[in-house]
Amino acid sequence: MLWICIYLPLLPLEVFTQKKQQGALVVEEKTNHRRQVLLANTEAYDAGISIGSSISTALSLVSTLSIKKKDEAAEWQALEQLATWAYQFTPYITLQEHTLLLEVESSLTLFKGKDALCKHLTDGLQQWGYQYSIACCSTAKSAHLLAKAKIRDRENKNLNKLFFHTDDIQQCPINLLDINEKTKASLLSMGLTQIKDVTCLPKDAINRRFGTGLSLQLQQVMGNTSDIQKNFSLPKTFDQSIHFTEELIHSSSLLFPLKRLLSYLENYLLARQLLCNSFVITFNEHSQQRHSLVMQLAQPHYRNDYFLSLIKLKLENINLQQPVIGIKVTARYFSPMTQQTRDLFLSYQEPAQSKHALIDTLTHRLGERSMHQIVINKDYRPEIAAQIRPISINLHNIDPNNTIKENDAHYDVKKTREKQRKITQTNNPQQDIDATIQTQHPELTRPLWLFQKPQPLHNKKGVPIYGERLQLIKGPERIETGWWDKQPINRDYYVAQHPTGVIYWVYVNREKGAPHQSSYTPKYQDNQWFLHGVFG
Amino acid sequence: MTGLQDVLQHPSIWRASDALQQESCTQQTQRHIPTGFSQLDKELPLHGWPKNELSEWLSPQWGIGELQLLSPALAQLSQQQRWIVWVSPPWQPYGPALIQQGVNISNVLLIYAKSNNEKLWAMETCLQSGACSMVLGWPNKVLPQQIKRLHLAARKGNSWCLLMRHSDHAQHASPAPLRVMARVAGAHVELQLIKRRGSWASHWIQFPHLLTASLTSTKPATSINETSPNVDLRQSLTPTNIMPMLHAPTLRND
Repeated sequence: MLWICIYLPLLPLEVFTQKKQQGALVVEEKTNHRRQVLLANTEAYDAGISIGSSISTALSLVSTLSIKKKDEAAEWQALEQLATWAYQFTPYITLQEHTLLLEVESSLTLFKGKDALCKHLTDGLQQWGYQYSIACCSTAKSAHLLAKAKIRDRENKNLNKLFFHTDDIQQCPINLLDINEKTKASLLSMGLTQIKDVTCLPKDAINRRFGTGLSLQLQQVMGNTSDIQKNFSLPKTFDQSIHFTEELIHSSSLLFPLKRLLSYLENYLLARQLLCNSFVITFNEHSQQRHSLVMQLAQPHYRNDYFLSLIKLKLENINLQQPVIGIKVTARYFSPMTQQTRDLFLSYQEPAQSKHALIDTLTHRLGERSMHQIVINKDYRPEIAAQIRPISINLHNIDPNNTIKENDAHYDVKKTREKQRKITQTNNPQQDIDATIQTQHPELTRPLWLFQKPQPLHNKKGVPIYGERLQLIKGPERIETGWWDKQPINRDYYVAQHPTGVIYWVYVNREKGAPHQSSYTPKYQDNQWFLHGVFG
Repeated sequence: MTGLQDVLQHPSIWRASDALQQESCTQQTQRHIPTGFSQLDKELPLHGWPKNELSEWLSPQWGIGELQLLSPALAQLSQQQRWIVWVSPPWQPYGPALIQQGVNISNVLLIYAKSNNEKLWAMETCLQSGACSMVLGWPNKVLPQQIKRLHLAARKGNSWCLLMRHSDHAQHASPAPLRVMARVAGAHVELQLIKRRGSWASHWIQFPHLLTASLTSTKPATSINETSPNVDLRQSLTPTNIMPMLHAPTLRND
């Protein structure tokens, strides 16, 4: 077993200073009905405020002092964020107060030895901006003790290393142990200042004087007794928020905190080996109002810079009504991360951006309804044979069965399901093409441009007029169908040429029950002509 | 004078007229798309449409045959797993007809943008992304510097940008390397390359309108009225041209 302990001594203070607050700041703590300084930042320290002094003393020294109550929830959140990030090193993570314990024995081969692993770990920790002390030892408790000792006793050269043996514990002072004040005091009064002083005493004598707790703890430190740690496990959904100390007015200033939240999201997705299909950003406004932004992705992704580039596009269109005091990012829909296989012999240059990523970019600026694809239906009615439909975003590459869903009343599950259903129906227009009427009857003349709405034409003695007389050069092709639904048509289609040379597709509405004409030449004296397409 | 001839023979001397004569350069064959029309291939600088450039298509109106002239290229490009993007086309490109021309419509993406700026933005984004083999755009208004920008985007994303503009703009200068002017004359569509690399503007190249060419009667058929009832229905009565009888019976001459 190799335990790495990351000890964050200033965490209660650092959860506040991460938000870039200037000036003196202390974190207060209440002990014995007395408010006292638990931690102080450098500005406060330089002004003479010392740890343990009362709040009123501190205030008399710095009148502009900002005092924060110890925020344990924020500390845990910070620890969990750190644990999510540390998940890349090992799945065995334990969270304790201000402390992160990692068991890395099984990951050593992957990271090519403990030196390389610790280098990765410390390099990553630097980015988080916390002050930390790190120690590796064979038991969890000894690693924890040594990490604490490294902070307390910086000058000690024996402690100025990363990897320790359990024997190094012997030199550590007794007050680092997790024991109550009374036991601590009596041990010190007996002249037992270092751990080795206690361990060399007979076990029975210690048990009789101080109870079994102390000797059990010492056994666990030395690795003689099992020490079961509670494993940290990642939550099923991602839900992280940031509260600002000041109000943000411009939407562009939201990008910086968003970037941080999204990097947590990336860590989370990497740790769980998932891709995110959609997530919701909620802006808490000053007046308790919430403004949500739903980000739907055509292609599930995990990279925070990708998310951010889409948000940038969307934020351009958003006007903040009121100052924002907090942001929350929630993600509940995931799909498994899969490796994409690529063609070895690509005939063209590898696309810089995938097809679906482009759809994402366009959708977030232009809106979902501006992108369309042509859908082919098996129908003789020209306007139904091919329709343009808004492109179904999200769920493009996703097998609906694979999608991991979490039940949540807040989320519009129904809508997503509908979309899923839609995509299974009209997934790939290409699939249907083999069965279309066009491939069965390639001789049919169809224009390359079709009007959304047929344009009525004047009728002059049965001849359509579009500015000038149209010459009918091919036809008729009679289409009489659709009696089974509410859009029956009964038309004769002609190819017609305009004197300018442009060739149109026109039709004439045949009236129902019109008397049968003896001649094959239809006379459309009283029928309405329409322009339906152009042979562009 | 022999001195001048010697100089011109030197391999490092390049003359604009050479560009049209070079054929067997592998790099160039990769950079073009055959148009499907030999008379047009002959005139184009790369013997085909460019693959990663901007071209301008100037036309007095839409629907005169531009899609039929482009469809061989569209069919070829649609085989790539990249989008063919149509930004604000004047009408709906009709799927069945595109399929007849061999276009894989699952790669066709239509974008309808509201403002002119959004149209240009969409075009540039699509071109730059590298996820599009071709972008056809019908912007309302485009400035020379915006054309240049689109051209650079096309270069970056390795896609062909076809800027569809009214032929009134032909007289204005444009940074587009290739400008094609179209017009319709009787039963023909005519193209003129008013700007191309390595050569002067071409003459008008004639293309018979594909539809009229496919009809046996190249002479314009007469309209259907009492005075001239000779509509050429023989064509539509040959077995291949009869619509299936299920829903749409063809008129028969009994």
